[in-house]
Amino acid sequence: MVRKQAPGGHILVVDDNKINLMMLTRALREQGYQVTTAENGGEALEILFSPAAESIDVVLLDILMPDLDGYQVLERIKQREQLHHIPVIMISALDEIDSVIRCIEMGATDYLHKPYNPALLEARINASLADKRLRDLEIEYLEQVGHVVEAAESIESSAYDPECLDQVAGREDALGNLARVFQRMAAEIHLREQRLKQQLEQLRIDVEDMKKTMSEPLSVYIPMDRRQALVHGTTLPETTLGAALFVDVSGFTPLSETLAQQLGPKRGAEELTRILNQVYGVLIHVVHQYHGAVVGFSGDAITCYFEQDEGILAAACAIEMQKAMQQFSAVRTPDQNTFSLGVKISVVAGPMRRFLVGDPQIQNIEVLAGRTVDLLAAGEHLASRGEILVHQDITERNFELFITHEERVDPVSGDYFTILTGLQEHVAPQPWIELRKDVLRDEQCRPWLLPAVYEQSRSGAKGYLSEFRQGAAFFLSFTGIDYDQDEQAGVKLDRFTRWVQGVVAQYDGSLLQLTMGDKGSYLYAVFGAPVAHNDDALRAVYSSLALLDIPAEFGWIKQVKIGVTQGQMRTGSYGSSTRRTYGAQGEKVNLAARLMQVSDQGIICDRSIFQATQARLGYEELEPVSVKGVAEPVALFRPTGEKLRLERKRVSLIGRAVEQVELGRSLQSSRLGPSKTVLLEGEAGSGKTRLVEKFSSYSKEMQIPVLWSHPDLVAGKLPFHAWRSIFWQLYDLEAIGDDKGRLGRLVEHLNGAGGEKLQGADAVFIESILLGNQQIGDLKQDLEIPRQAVEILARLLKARIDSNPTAIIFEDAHELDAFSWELIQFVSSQVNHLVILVAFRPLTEPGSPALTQLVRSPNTALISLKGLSREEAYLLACEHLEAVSLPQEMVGVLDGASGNPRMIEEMVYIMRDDGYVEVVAGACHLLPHVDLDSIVFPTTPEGLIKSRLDRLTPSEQLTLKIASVIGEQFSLDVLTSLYPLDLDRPFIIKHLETFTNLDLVTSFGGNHTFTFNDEVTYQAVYNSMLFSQRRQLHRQLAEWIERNDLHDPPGDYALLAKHWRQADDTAKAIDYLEKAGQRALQQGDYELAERYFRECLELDATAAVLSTEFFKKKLQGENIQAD
Amino acid sequence: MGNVEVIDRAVLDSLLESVGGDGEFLAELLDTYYVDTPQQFAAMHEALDTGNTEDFRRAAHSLKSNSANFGAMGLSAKAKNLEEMGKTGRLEDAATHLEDAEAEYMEVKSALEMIQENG
Repeated sequence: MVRKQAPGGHILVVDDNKINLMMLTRALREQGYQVTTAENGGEALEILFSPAAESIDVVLLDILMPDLDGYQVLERIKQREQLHHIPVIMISALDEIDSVIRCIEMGATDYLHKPYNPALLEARINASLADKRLRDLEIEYLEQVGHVVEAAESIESSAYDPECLDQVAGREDALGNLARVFQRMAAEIHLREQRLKQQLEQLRIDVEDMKKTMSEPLSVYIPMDRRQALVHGTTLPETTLGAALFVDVSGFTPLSETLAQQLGPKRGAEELTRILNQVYGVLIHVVHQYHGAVVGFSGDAITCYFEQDEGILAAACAIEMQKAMQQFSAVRTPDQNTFSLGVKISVVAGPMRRFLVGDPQIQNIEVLAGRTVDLLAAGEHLASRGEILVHQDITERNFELFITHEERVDPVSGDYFTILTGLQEHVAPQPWIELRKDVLRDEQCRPWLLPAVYEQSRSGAKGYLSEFRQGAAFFLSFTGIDYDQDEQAGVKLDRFTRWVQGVVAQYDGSLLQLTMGDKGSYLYAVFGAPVAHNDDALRAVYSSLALLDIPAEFGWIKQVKIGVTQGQMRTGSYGSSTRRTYGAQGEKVNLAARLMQVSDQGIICDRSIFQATQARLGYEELEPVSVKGVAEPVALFRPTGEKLRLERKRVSLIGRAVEQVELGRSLQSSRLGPSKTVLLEGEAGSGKTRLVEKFSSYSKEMQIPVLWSHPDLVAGKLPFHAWRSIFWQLYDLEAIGDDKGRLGRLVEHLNGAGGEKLQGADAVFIESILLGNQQIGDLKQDLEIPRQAVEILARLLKARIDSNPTAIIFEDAHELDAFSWELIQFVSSQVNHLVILVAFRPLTEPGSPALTQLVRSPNTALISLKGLSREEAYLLACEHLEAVSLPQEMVGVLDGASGNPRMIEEMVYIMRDDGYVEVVAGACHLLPHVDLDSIVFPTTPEGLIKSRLDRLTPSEQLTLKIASVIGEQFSLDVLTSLYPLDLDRPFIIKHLETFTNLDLVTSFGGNHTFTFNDEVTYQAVYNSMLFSQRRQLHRQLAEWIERNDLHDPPGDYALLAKHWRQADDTAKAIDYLEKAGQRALQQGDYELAERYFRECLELDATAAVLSTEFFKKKLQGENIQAD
Repeated sequence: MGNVEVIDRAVLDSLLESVGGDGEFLAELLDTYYVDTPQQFAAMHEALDTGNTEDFRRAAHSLKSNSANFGAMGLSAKAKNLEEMGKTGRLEDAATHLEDAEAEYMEVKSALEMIQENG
């Protein structure tokens, strides 16, 4: 509060002497002061206690007065808070000094004596006034400081009013500055709080949204009509009559760009999806209100079906939709711009086909088709935003009800459409019967979702909700099915769709939608969502190429055209809370559709695809075209085929001279007498195989027969399993048809060789070990390895070899069992003229005692393969590249292989195939702008294998995958039969050659049977498949086996059960397991039977049938171990 | 008959000077003196009657200073005397001195009036 200041000042003069009063007053007024008088103390106090006192600056107070004297007045003044600070000057007579002193002690400021001296009077008054002014300022200052303090407190209690400091902020001094600073800071804090509140609110909305979406049942992915049919146990007829409505939302593209710019791509996409979902929420609600169902989503549009409606409900729905879209006519963006969203609608009615196609294991796809539906597209072309176009048939039938505007003609069909603007009468909504949220189980809904989306939505992962990611998409259009006239239309479409789904799935993509348009039927697929790879572009093109190759059974498919693009897309689940779908949207997706239309036949790709795949595929460039919404014409590319892949060369053995000599020498010495054993030890990829091959060729040169120990992939290896194939080769047991005959030959030789005759138990032993098809788990528990087992087998060996030098090779001997080692050791000392080559990886555990003995024997040569020397590595690399020299940088890089030949090979081919080096006229040099140090080379055996697998073409990878489904061992026949695409045998053989070259598989048994080189390779390939792929292949394999029953005795039930189980067909698996169990029971093998039945129960705990069988047997008194 | 010595002309002149030579104001002051003084006398008479020394003293005090203002030094001295009596409380002789003062006042007044007339 600023005190009122009288110019000069306002003085109260108190004196009971009138004359004094008059004189003082006049003198003061002359000096420019405003004067108020009081003739006694009481009057003075009256004035001072009144509001008038506010303006009084000084009081002149006579001491000697009647009633209340000056001293008492002073006392009262000083007692009053408001008056306390007013200066009081006492007027006194000269002889009243004592009183004066008392007054000053009481707080009087000064004194004047009578008669007064005018100059002194003025001086004293000025001084007092000045004091008072200072004091006033001080008070005001303190008051305003008080405001600032209050403001600070109010900030903390959130009661801050920005205007409360305006006055203080007006000051020009330090306090004013402080106030201004404070105001600014307070404003900022306030703003920040507001923003935080907003963010919190948005988060809350997001969480609510998410909760709502996640709490939505999966049945929202099924169109309402289908949903209701499922619940009520009815089916939707394929031939039907009704109305269809197509609504296309426009205005998203500019909105999407703006949001992406302002909020960043991720948040922008989320915001866009949120708005999109709001729009869908509104539109779909209306559809359901009028008994319509959303059959499919395409781009920013939906197709709806109103069964049995002549068009009235659909028209009413359309009117309501346009009304409802008003609320989106001004959508605000963060930068306060507005965007307008609108829809165009087209309505038709008539006969239609309603199909459900696709492989339920992958995804069901809903379809609405027929000429009537084609007209829907025609209508849409004629419509503009905000309009409803209704087909002539509907308008003609309902001209009384419809309020129409103008007509538009479709140039293609000649039909016309009317613009509907309203209805004469209100058409009442006909909502569907409400369904409880949990009325359909998740498993029932599963076929309508992509498997990956199903998994993600069940686990509650937010990832599927909306994302902005890189992906590749293709749009495929085809004609050839007459949906209206052909009774088989549904079946044909289904088969074709399944085939496409299969092809796409093999490349790990997803077929998303199937739509009917006026120029054909379209489907589109996406690679990169829900599952992403780093070569999605390649997959998209490869699958497109595969799709162009229509199998003969789809001969009626015509005019396949495909558009392929790559780029940013919005992927994820979108729609309303009552009807959703999973899809990919965006400019690039639209472009793919456009490219498809532009193509006259075959495939057209955009530049992104071209750049991403041109290392593997050849392209021809076509004339660019203009595309709506894109400024520059779009470059077009057509793939012409796979580029010739540079082959890998089979190189000669580099280095290892010493080792080769050793091998030769061992072979030589075997002629002389005592057997030689060569232990060849080396890391994976160190070149053991090459040396073993060398050994084998030396043997052939020296005409020494070679026996190979073949891997026996019997689960739970039998003792001596490594020797099985050797005995089979040695005794030519393959030629004999049955085990009895085989045993006979073996026994014959054994007995003929002299020594003890074979005892019964021994015969049984030989039979179990060397013959028959049992697995380790099948053996009776009480099989004993006779103590003379080793001796017997050695005798068997000797009996056949006699004195002929023979070479025996054991590869991968690190997998040998102890018994096999023992036999090797025994044989090497007891049988002559043998050369046994045992190759193995460095043992991680201490070897068997037999191995230790071998190592110590003088007849054993120990070769330990070290890494190649730098020179040898250089030579090897040169050989691979067919170059005479290498760039220096390469040499440095190759050092990282530590002389491991396989690693060197891999690195060299990576550098060549990935475009880092090239060989021209025998000279190898670096390509420009490459950095060898940036290459990440695989360092583990698994990494090496993966690197090789990645370099296979997709069709090669497919072959390998199919092989892995067959098993670790597979035959060419089965492989060829299983191959899904029409591929010739020679092709597959070529593939197998490649695989062998790459050390992935090995052939034996005359090039008809193959085996994966090791467990790691096998697992890597098998696991690289999607579950759905695996299941499909296992099923095909199981069916094939059933058709071509090759086994003896007929039907390897266990194998079939295994494949059916992997194919996820529990019923069949159980069926075969039962059969297997029955047979085992019949053979008296109760443990085996139990195993099979147990597996049955694992699959289905209610497998009651077999339990009865089992218990029946028990009840028959058999002594079975009860469970 | 006005005794000019009753008024010290110098004091009066100085008073006129101190009010900026404003003759009208001086006349106002004198008018007030003429009204006030009899009131003081009356108050003193009453005080004697009631024995209120304080009232007596105060009235004498006022008379003293007012008279001195206008140069009536003699009257002022007499008033001072009366004030003393009021202070000490010895009012037995006061009545005589009071009459004396009153008489002096008559002379003062006529002298002042004469000065006012003649300048």
